[in-house]
Amino acid sequence: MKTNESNSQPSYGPQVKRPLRVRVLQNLSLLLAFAGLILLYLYSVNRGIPLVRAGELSPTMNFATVRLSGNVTRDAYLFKSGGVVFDVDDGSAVIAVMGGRAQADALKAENRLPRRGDRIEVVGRLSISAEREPTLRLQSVDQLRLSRRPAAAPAASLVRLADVTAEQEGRQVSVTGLLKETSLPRPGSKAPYILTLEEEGAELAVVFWDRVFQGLGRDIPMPGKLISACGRVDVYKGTVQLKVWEAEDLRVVRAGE
Amino acid sequence: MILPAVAVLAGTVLACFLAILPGLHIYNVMGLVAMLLYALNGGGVASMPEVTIPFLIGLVTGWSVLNTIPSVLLGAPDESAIFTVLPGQKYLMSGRGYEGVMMIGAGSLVGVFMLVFIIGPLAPKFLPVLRCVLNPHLHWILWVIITFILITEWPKGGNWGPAGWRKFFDAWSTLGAGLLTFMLSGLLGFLLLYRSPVSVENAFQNIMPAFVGLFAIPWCLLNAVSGAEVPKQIVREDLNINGDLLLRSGIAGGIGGGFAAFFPVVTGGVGGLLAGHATAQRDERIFMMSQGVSKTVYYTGALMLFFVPGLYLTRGGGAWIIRGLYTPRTCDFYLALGSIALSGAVSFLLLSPLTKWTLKLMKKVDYRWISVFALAIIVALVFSITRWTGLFVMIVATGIGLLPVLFGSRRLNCLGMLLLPIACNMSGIGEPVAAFLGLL
Amino acid sequence: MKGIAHFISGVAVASFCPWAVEAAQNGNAVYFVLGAVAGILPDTIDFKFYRFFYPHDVRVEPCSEQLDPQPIADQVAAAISAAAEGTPITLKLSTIKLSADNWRQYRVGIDPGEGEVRVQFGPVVSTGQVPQPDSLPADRPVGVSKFSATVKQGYEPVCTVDIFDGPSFLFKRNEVGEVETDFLPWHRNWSHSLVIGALLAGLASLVTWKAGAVIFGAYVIHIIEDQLGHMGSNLFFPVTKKRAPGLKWMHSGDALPNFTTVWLCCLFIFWNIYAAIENPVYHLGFIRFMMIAMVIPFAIFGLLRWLLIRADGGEPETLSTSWDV
Repeated sequence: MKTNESNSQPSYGPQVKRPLRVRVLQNLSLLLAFAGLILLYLYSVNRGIPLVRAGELSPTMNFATVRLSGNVTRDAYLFKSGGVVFDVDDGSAVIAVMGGRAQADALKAENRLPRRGDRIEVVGRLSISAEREPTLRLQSVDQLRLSRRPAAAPAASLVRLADVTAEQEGRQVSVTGLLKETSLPRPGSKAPYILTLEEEGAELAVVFWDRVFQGLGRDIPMPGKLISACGRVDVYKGTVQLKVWEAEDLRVVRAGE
Repeated sequence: MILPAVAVLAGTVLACFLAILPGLHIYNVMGLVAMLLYALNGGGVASMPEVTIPFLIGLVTGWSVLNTIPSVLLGAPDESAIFTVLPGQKYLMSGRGYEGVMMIGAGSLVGVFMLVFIIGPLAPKFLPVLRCVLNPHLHWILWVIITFILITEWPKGGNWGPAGWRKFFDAWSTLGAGLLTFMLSGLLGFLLLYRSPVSVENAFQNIMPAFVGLFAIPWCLLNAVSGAEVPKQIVREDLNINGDLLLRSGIAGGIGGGFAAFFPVVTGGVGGLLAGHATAQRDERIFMMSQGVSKTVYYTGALMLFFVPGLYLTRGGGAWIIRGLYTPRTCDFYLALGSIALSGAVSFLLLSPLTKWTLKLMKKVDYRWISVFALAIIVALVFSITRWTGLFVMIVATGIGLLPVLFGSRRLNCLGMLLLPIACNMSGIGEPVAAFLGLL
Repeated sequence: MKGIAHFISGVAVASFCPWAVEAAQNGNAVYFVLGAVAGILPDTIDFKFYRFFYPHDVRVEPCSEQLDPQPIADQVAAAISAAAEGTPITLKLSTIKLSADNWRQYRVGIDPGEGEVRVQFGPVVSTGQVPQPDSLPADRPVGVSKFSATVKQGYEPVCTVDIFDGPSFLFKRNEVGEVETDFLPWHRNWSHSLVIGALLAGLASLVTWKAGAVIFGAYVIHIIEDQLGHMGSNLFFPVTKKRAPGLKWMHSGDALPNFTTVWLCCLFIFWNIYAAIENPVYHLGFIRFMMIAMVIPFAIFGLLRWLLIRADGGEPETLSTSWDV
């Protein structure tokens, strides 16, 4: 015998009904969520991405999606882990632009890895933290517009060693000086190579890493040579330095030049 | 030593006032403090790390212990809350609100002990190993967590009536609302990550209005319209717990809070959910105390990890805010641990008198008005930092945040705002998704 | 076991597959997510889909205002008697929800020896199944109803009805004329079959055999874990028709087995990920790793618990009520 409860059973059973006001609120909430998202989306995509200047960044701009426009001051460097980095000078300061493996591969495939002297407009997300230089994180290679440099690239301004001060931090400069001493890192160490140049009593540390060392043919000039260096002014633990990123930016000045 | 101690105490005392307000999150206040410090720095007044760091740690630790008070006493469920009543609320409605607060506070104290005496000393040795091994795998861990959140939501309806599609849809109404909440908040997250409407000058608080709208505003709103009357509250000085219950709570909450503190994007709520399921504890007292442990270990632990030598992990809004102000050194770890211990002790000692004071206040001022007041402060805070666009984001997020409350699904689904876009980015599909959405 | 134990077991199974770890290292999460989903899939199918379509011949829906156990006992006994005549009967015992977090508990006992069904109402319990103090009804009669059948108990003799979806039974006469009681007949039936797991894995293998292997492994581990309990599963549906009884080593909600499983799985996942690193910065040995991560912490926890229970008077707390039908 099967029992169908709707025919023979007494009417037990709790009756749970939702109050009307909850149903109304539910519908209003759905409307608000959908309509609000659509409006927010329309506002965001039509608003445009603001153009900022690297020298005017503040800590409260951390995570902001911004546009930067300027000249590439360092050839794109591809990390072993797959990312990419290059520097952009927009006239107010120099900022490093970084991308992940996917962006690096895409730029390489499209032959659009930025080179020094290229004109660039790039969109990315700012990363700003204390005691570190701000960086711009590339979100998509589609947001990078590149104009290749003309044949003769503008040279960095030539300055005297004494004029290279902390106030010029971030600027791209060229210097010439006598090599006073060299400092080489231990084998396997990630510390930089340091050449101390001297000119009219002023001294400046020229700093570079293994990649440049390899580009120099693993050959460090001897003290007493006249050295020409082009790089970016940096301040590390209170000491003004010149950071060189390309081997071609560091050379011995031959007699007669 | 005096200066940092005074700074910790100042932060803890300030946390006392902030923690009472329902819905107000300490990260919102830290954002405001950070803006003030940036302004001071810009004006040539240097902020001293030995003052600002202990002050901020005191704020976070004190808040994580003391915000138990509004979560128990200022959230009375009425008949519209037909889907979930939290254990703390049950204690309030049976006149045992004080006991509920102190129980959760006991859990928070256990959390502070765990941080200072267990996790803190072991962190420099073991966490770098963990991080080194797990870093390349964070993407799938996030996806697995997302899957767990979505797949383990229990259908609330479909328990009565004949078998068939009607019963099925009755059950799936809450599940469907949960999935919808997750997707909508995920979309909001993509929008905020790639094309945030918040002005560039305040971008460091991009997601703050959204979090406020998703979590704080719905709670305050529902409190404000609640029809329940809070019964007379009895204050008992002894709690119905023992060492064994504290131990089990500590394990459950410590695992949940620690997991949330260590992994990116995973918040205390997710950690608590995972630990609650994993430890399978059914006793409500253990549940409540473990929530206290989890909350404190998550908020304070995430901040502590920023100072762990060899790790310097940036987890949680607090650490991100401090990262913009200061880079830690090795000795700062001892400063951090000491500040946590001092603040934890002081805030627990303040918990009882503050709870009694709140109960007295509730006799004079209806809890609904307190919620309205808190709502006004939160809205003012959002406006002061992110202006009109931030308010707009907050309102949209409120619409999404009301869905779980009104449909009975998990509020945790609102974390799709962070989980979905960041998991996509970590997996390398963030860019194509953003491009598909027209955000690039 | 609880859902999270099945879930993380599926992830752990995936971590034992080298291709899954390699894909994860290259940013592809699919195998781990598949393992997680497959690990919990059998219960998801049952609790989120199948149970809403499983028809019941008899639905017992007690009223909260009328705590009369007799009609309940009568309906259950009538169903057993009807089954004894040859017709399988499915019966559902509905829960009594009082409010958002309060449920009236009642118990139904089937006594084959006395040939009777006994029903009695109990306390109000929370959704965590914790009895509320002083909530037993003042008057608690026991409803008793006789049935004319020989009953073979397939599950526990007393069934507690309290939260969410109430339990259901299948009463069916076997070859020797006994009425077998099948608890939750819709659960762990076809969905917990190794054949179904193989079928799903086969479907996935149309894309890649690696996905099929992960799915099958995770499915199997779920079924094995369920066999440790009391109910068992219908392991070879559609070849077999009944559930193979479990080993009765644990109940599905027991805290220690669940937590131990979850923790062990997490350790295995970590170890498998670590073992796949080509030139690890840190060097761990498996034994040392398990000692630090499992043996020592569990030992310390056990010792602390023992000391604390001793300090509190000797007996750990229990949650169950003392009443019985």
